[in-house]
Amino acid sequence: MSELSPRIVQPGLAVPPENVRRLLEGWHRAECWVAVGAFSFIAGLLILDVLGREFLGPVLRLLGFEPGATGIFFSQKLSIFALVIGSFAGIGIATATGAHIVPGFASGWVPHGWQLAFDRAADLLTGVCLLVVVWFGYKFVASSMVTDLRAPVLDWPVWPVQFAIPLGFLSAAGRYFFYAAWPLLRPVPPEFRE
Amino acid sequence: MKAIGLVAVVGASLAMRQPLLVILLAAAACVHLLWGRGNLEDIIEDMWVGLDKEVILSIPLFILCGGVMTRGSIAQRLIRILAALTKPLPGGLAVATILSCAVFSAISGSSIVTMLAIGTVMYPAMLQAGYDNKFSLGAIMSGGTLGIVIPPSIPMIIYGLVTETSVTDLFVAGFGPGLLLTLALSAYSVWFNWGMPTIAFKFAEFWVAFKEGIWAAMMPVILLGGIYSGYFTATEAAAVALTYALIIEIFVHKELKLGDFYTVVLDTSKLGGSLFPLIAVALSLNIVLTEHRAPQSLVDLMQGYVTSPVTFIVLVNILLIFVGCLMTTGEAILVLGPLLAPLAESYGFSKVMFGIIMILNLEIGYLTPPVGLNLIVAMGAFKQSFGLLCRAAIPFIVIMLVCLIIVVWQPWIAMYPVTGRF
Repeated sequence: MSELSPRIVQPGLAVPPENVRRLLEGWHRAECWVAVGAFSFIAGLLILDVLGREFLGPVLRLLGFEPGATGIFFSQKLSIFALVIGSFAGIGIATATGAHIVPGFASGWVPHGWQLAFDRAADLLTGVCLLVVVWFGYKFVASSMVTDLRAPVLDWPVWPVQFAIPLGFLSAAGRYFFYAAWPLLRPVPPEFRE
Repeated sequence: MKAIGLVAVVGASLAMRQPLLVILLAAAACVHLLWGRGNLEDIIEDMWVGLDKEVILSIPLFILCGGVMTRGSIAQRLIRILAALTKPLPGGLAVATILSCAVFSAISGSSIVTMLAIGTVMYPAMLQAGYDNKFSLGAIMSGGTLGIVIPPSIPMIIYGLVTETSVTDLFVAGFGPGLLLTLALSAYSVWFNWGMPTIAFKFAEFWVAFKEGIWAAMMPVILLGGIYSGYFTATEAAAVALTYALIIEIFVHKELKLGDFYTVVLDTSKLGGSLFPLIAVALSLNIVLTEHRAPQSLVDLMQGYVTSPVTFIVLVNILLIFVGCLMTTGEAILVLGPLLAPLAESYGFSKVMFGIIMILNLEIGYLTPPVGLNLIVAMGAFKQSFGLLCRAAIPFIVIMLVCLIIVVWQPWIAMYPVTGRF
């Protein structure tokens, strides 16, 4: 399964070591499975919840049973948690596939000869910015852990879910650093994004 | 001075070709540092709080649903029914294209998904039937844009999230303008192709198409019926739509395999990975701007210069048309929605009505260069030059502009189903 976008091919660029390429591909596969798991979980849970509430319950009541609540009580909270995990795993996936929205405002400003150096500097800057976000994300999660912040109703500590936020940004930051080091690893952005 | 600092940071990020995610994060950090307490952890906390909304769950479900339907044969079956019905009309196939787009829009929340699902079938069929190439392209590209006006609509959900507006009300309000656009585009199709030969209606042909497509045709009925009757919330409607699409494609049409579903979920994850963190950051920025009364200051500033609601709405429409040419719908809503919606409210436009106006403007942006997404996608899908596609879109853009003006002039077209008042 290779979901990564085709690479920019430019002569004269350092070829990335094979183990780095393999590391990024394995990393991407792992993130894909996390995201697919999370989004499948959301779909499955919400479908069961709605079917239970809107169809099973009324049918049982029609048949003369008194089934009580037939929906899944925590479904929306659990789905939100899965959405956070899936979305922030998705930051890495979007980075690996060049799917992030980049405003085209300044495209074509840089002379062609400087384009590569400019792209590398831009990737480095993105990586640094995201690393700053990782730090503040980590501080936020740490404070949640210290104060033992819990999800309403479920009464679960929320920090394990919140941890997906700095982790997602860290994954994206790491990739941008790799792209700055070896531009051949950089994916070609998709033709269009809606 | 502080504002100049914020503009400089955003400008520098744009010049450095940074992702929108990073630009919004930088803007949020600036606002916290320059006007707030400088506690940047608050950005992450606001992102966490921002994502904790039930309605946001409908987005991945609608994206999944669109993916399932695109891989299956729901679009083809809907087309067959509508083509059999519109054959007696001059330009019947063109009308069938517009109607198919409208019906498919009532299932899908995306313009591109709608255009590709219908266009890949109808474009070759229209050419084969002798329709003008430029007209056929224009009809398919403009029909595709109905995907974001006729509910369910992903841009409407995003607008609802960032402006704290009822998504159900937005969905209900989208129906009238969607119908108006469908009628206007269909009428133009008949007028343009008046000289085309017509074919007599054959009940037997219609009946075969209807029997094969009844399950597909039921989908918009269930979805819209559920939303308009108030029986389903947006998220419930999305869950029901996805369940129905899966059951139909796996067990009835037998066109979806487990491997296909993995690909559909992965595509959703990719889109989710670029969209949800962006929504979270935009919501975080929105919270901090509201805390610092930025929308209120903008309202005060604007009302100092513009007192008439008519002048305001004309100016905003011009701005949005211009923005639609330069930004994608998602970008425009995330960035401008939270700033413009309170402004519109201060001039007497409800947030629901303004959301519809915004979506109608940005819908036109799908057909205007340089970033008209339907133009760009059509270039690859139908192998046509960008210039030809731009020219093909012009008469349809004019029709859509006229519809926009009518909706702004007669807001009841959108608002009657919401408020029950003319």
